[in-house]
Amino acid sequence: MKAHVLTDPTPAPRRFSQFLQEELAMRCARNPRYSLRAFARYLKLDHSTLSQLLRGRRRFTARTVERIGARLSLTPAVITQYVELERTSPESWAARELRQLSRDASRSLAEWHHPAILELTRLTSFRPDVRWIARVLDVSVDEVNVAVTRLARMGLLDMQSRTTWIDKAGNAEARIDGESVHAVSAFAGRARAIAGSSGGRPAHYSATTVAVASLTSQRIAERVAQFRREIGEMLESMDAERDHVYRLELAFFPVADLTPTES
Amino acid sequence: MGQPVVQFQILARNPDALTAFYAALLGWRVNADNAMGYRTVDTGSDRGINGGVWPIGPTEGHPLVQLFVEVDDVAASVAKVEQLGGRIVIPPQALPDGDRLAIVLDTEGLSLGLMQRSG
Repeated sequence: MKAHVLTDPTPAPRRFSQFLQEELAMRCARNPRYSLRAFARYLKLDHSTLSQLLRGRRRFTARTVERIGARLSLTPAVITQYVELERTSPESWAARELRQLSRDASRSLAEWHHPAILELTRLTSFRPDVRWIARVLDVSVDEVNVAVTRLARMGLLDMQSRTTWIDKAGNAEARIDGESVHAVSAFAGRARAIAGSSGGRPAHYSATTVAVASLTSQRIAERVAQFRREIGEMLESMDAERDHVYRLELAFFPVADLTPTES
Repeated sequence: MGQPVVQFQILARNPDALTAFYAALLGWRVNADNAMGYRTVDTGSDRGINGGVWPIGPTEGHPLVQLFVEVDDVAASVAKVEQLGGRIVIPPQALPDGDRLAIVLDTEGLSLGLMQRSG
């Protein structure tokens, strides 16, 4: 069973911020690369402004509702309804719930141990024991439990039986491109700094956390080395004048310590 | 047989500090030696109910106390929650000790744990 908070069947009335939070959550659920920044760009809003609006730290003006509503192809009648609601209705618990969902989505993508926990469930050696998970990922038991709660709340983790946990997320990916930070893992600090200072020049960062067989990991490492060589050869073969310096970093390394411990 | 309230659970940002507080104040004993690393709370009395402490992230929600109610069939109870206008926060999950647990919101938005014992 999925967490039904993802598909709230509750009809209007709801506040405009709730509608936007739902829209963002749906976009994030459909596309792991999607972010609040991407949503703000789409709405032609500053991302910090959108963040404040969604968190209730800033009120929607009628003009803002009309502009965003039109961008999201809402009918004039619905826009008018939202304008009226923004003037009157207090925030409900449903709004808080949806805001939490949106926060869950961004954190689950941003913190590296969330996808790592999901990938661990794919291992034959997986143990549904948070003490074991905490040890192999070198994080605290509380960090694992906060992450497990978020993942279960979002329907990304199904603790199906006492021995079986199921990753329902598929392959999540963290990515930074252009000036936008879509999601940031622990490895991405440097890429984030670069993306923030790239002066509008194209920058790309992508990372994914996967469970692999030992044999496969060797093949992936060879492919990574081959790819780096191919990029070098491609650059050498080009005649165009070089006017920038970029760094290409490829890393493929274990994030879990699955060395058996003495018991 | 009824559907008894069997446990309280405190959601805490700093579970270690919180359990230390209650241990000093009330003499509650805490034990986290289980597969979920769950801090079970033994009040030391044969009256009332025991409880537990669960961590929440630094930016999510707020600390609160939840009640856990034992039901015969957690999946059936969760289905009923929706029919009655409540909401599902965490759908039924199987815990490593075999118990099943779901977290729901009632019509006031208060969260409630529904538990089904393993046997």
